[in-house]
Amino acid sequence: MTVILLSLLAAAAVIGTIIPQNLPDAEYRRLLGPAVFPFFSALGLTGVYRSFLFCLPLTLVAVNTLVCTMRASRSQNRPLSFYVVHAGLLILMLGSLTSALTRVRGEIRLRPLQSADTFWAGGRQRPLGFSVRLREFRLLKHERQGERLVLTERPAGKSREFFFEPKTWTAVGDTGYRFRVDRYLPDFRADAQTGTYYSASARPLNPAVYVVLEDPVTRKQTGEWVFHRFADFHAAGRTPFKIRYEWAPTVPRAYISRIEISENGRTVREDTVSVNRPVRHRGCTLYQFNYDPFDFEWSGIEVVRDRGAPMVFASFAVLFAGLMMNLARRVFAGDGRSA
Amino acid sequence: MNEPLIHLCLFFLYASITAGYGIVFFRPAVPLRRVMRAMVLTAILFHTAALTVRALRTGHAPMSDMHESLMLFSFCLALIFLLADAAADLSRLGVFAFLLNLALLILAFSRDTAPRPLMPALQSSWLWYHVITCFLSYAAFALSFVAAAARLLPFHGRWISSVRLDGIIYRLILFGFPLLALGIMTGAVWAHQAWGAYWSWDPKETWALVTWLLYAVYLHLRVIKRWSGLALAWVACLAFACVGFTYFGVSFLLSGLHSYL
Repeated sequence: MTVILLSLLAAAAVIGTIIPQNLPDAEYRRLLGPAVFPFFSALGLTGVYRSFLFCLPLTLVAVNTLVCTMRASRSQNRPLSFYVVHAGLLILMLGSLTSALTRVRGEIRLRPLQSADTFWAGGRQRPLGFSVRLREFRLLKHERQGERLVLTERPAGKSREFFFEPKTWTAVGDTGYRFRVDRYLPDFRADAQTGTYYSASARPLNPAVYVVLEDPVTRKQTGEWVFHRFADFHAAGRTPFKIRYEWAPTVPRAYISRIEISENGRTVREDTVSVNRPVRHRGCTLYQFNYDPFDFEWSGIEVVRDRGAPMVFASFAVLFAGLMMNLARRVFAGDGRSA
Repeated sequence: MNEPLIHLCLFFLYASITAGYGIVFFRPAVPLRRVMRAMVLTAILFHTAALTVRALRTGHAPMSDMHESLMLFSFCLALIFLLADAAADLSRLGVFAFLLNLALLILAFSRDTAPRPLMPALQSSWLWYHVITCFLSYAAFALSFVAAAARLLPFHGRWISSVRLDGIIYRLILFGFPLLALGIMTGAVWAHQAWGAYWSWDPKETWALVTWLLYAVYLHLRVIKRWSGLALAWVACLAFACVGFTYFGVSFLLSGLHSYL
């Protein structure tokens, strides 16, 4: 029975990797056709891991594990490792169920100096229990990697190459000028009617950056769009530099949010959230999840509450201990056919 | 140091080992087996140096893309073979194990070897624990596959008995099973720290679980149902096919959170 149930569980898990999961219904109708989609939906194939196809074998595995463990304790001479492994599995399934039933996950998008004390999750606003304020967001790049700007003094003067950080002033050598990249659009389009600029897609088909140049004497700032594919397509002679933008895939080194946590109007904590370094406060964990890829204005912070996670991690320790006890026992017992 | 030169030396070292085990297959004299073990140990030490050079060059753990992971897989395969050979004398399977190793190296050299900066999600010490435990388990399962494939050959009895092969397959899977469990667990803990979810039904995660479930099926069939022989060897081969799909198939055919590998 165990073998059959584990095989069914594996087969159900595989289905979820072959059929795209949790897409909008309209997307499934387009992919599968209007005749096939209702069949897929009824069988739960569009959300396999919540459907009976997966949950039924999983439930049966849990019941089977419990029954086998109880039966073994009464009648069979099983080693301690058997009980530890199966206890670990049962705690794991209980922890996962707790997570599935109680887990809350949402996102807050904050601009610098903006704060929030609620977040959206499951279609409704939920209180955080405290207030989070974004003091600063920084996007850091790897040194000398990725896209760059080349500034050439007019007329036909010295060229300087810069790997830049967005929204950060960079000095142009010893000229006194400095520049800042304020915006990035991977697929630049201009709306002539409204005079706005936007990206038609997320793909770098027409990458462009908005560069602001500051005069050292007057402190006057002049901005212009610079295009990777059209090096000469910007206002000629307006600035003392000809600017060339060379796009390259950029892997950020880090994106970091400095936050302030307040309770009852009083700041209780200042901290930094970055990928792999979440901040935990009052049962919530804050993760650096996202950022504004175009204007670098907002930081996306994910809020998670999961009561099942500690149980799951405890089950890992138990399960692994049982597996190692079993390995050690069988290594010293020779062939180890006996249970 | 010149990485292409290091790769060339490594390839010739493993090719020599493969040729040596080819001789051992037909003439398994003890002195020759000892020489081969010494050569494998030398290769492992050289491979360690190669991985270290890579880490120094890139500034991060040498396991962040397909080239680096294939090099690591090759290293783990040699290491696990040496340990298993010392414990249970796998010398007659050495030629097949190191042919597989050469195939991994060729694949590694065919990939883009240019170092890439590490994305924020991979900047964690969990990268070491998770990837190394996974690849040690893959290496153990790869050797079990070599033994299982030999078991399925009709004329294997001339060189190695069925009972011995069944025992080798079982012990290798028994060793790899908790390692894969640990690999999945460390991955889950890391995912929770990085993304806020210890399990996302990402294709790589799911197929690793499927692989673990299939090896659990193998162990239940062997220990509880007392299966042995060809049927069980087929189960071991099927389970290793899942290892292959988890590593290669998911990376090339299915997109997900692990799409950097």
